[in-house]
Amino acid sequence: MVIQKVEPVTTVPRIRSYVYNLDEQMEGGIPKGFVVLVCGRPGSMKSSLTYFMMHMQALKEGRRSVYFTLEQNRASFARHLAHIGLNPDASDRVTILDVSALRRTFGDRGPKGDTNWLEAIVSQAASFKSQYDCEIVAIDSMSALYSLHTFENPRRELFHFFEGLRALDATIFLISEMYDPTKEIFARYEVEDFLADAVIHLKVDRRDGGSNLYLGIVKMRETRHSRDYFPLIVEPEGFEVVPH
Amino acid sequence: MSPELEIRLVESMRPLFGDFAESALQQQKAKLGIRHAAGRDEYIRLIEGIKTMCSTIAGPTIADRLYQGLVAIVREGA
Repeated sequence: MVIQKVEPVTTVPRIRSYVYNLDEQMEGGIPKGFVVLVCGRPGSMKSSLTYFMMHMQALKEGRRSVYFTLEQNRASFARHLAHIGLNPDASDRVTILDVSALRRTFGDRGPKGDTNWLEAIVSQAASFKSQYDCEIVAIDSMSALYSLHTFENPRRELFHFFEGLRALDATIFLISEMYDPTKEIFARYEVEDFLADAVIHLKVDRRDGGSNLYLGIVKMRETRHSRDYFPLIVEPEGFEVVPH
Repeated sequence: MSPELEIRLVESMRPLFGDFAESALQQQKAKLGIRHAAGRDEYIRLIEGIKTMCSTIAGPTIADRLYQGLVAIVREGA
């Protein structure tokens, strides 16, 4: 099969992923200000890939970002990143914000006992952006956030959540866990992929005692992108996709 | 502790502590036994405690930035 390079057709400002060979498959990167769903089953390296993109943006382009971790504590996440060659201390431009520590210290219900976590996380991101001037926000994970929120009308509440994120005027990565291995349901309520501007799917193919990772761009608005799934390789130098 | 100063400290903590900013401040005050009419040294002890908490939540670099901001607020307000 001959791989066809996707030629740029727009001049939308884009955030490069710095995943080797990937940006060429999406007109040079993710359009700035997009809400991106990064989804996959456990162990598909959603968090690592997302952090890697933020880390590279800090190192190569000086962009500041904040990574909200709602369940894994900061120290554990930092050790994991170090294990794959990413040193969180290499740049002070990526802040890992440990919401799990706040939850442990103060409880899940919030100071008044009725915190709306969907609104609270957007509000905190806005506050962080305003004070520390960041351009990229990641929320890890949607499942953790959902566990803190009681939905009455998921579709309506998620619509407003996504609109709140868009209003931040930052590029947003939402990490979404996929549970059913037999179905391509990218997030819990099956509306998130419609609401998001882009969906990056990480697949784990486990067979013959081994496991291989694949990355696919399922959706990216305003972008001519490849719809292939590419083998994803994690090297000490960084992430790489292998065109067919 | 003046209410205005406390409000400014809490607002400065909000980007890192979110909705828990006020709870974090109150927790540190209780820990240090600070009630009313605190002096500058007590304020500094208070924000040092907040810096330590912030370091766990967001790392030492940003905790230091927060600390510098809080010190400036205390100096202005004291």
